[in-house]
Amino acid sequence: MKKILDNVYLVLALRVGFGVMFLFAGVPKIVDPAAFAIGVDNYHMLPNALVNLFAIALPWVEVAIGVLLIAGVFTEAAALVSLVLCVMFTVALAQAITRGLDISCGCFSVEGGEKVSPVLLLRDLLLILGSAWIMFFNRGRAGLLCLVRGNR
Amino acid sequence: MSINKTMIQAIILAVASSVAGLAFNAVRPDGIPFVAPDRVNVRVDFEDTSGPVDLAGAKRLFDEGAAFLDARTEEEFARGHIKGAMNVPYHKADEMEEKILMSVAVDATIVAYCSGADCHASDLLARALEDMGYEKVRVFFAGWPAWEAAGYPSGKDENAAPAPLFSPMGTGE
Repeated sequence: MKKILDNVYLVLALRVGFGVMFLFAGVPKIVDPAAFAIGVDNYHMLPNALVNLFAIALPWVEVAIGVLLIAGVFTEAAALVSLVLCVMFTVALAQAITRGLDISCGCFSVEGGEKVSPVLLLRDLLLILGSAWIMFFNRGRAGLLCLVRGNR
Repeated sequence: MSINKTMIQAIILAVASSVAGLAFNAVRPDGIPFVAPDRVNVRVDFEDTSGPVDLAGAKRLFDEGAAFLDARTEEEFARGHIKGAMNVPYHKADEMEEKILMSVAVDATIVAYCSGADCHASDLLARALEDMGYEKVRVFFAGWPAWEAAGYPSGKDENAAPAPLFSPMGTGE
């Protein structure tokens, strides 16, 4: 099992996959911050004073870790941020579901898109596991800096 | 790499990218205010002829012949809706764009509503409508519950299943 988890190509594929996913999640929110602010507000979790600040900042964090995960630079730190974000998303989603909020996820699309549902909760849990996998098993391998230096 | 070092890097990464985002928002022409003015108006680009409307306002617009769009699900719509309203579940707004454009004139006043205070589907629908080119889009936040309680004109699908009093096991949402 440990051997599989430690496979450099698997970790690389996962890392790049997560990176692309975060770019897809972040860019539409940067393009239309007003729509994303509504999406954040819909979760009824943040006080009004923080909704817009969060909606402005979060997509940039997503894009930053997306780029770093793909490039393999500061990978462990990016994976840790990814882990924290996914835990946050899971909590938000779980409270929305338990409160019966009829809202859209706001995960990858700022308008409409997926409605919150237990399936999305499962997806978030898998993303938490994936983030942890990258964080503990990447071990600085297969990054851009390594390629420049000519080793794995 | 030590966990401590990773944590410090992660914090720097999160703070730095957040600051970059806030800075970019401050200089971009379509940036949003750092603090939303109030709960129902996170959006900043409502025209004078659009924005939230209360029960009395919604009734007045109804009497004036405004188009009502119901952002709730098909089932909820079938159980009861504002008379003459068109059902556009907000997550289907994009695929229904053509149908909406055929049925509602671009210069018409549109009132979007859903099921009340905790529901923002109407807000999302209103936004989608504005993207389609409609300029006079109002959001009736009190929505269907207030309209029904006021006894204003309503319609429903006679074949609709009655609202469940409780969710039967296994089919609950």
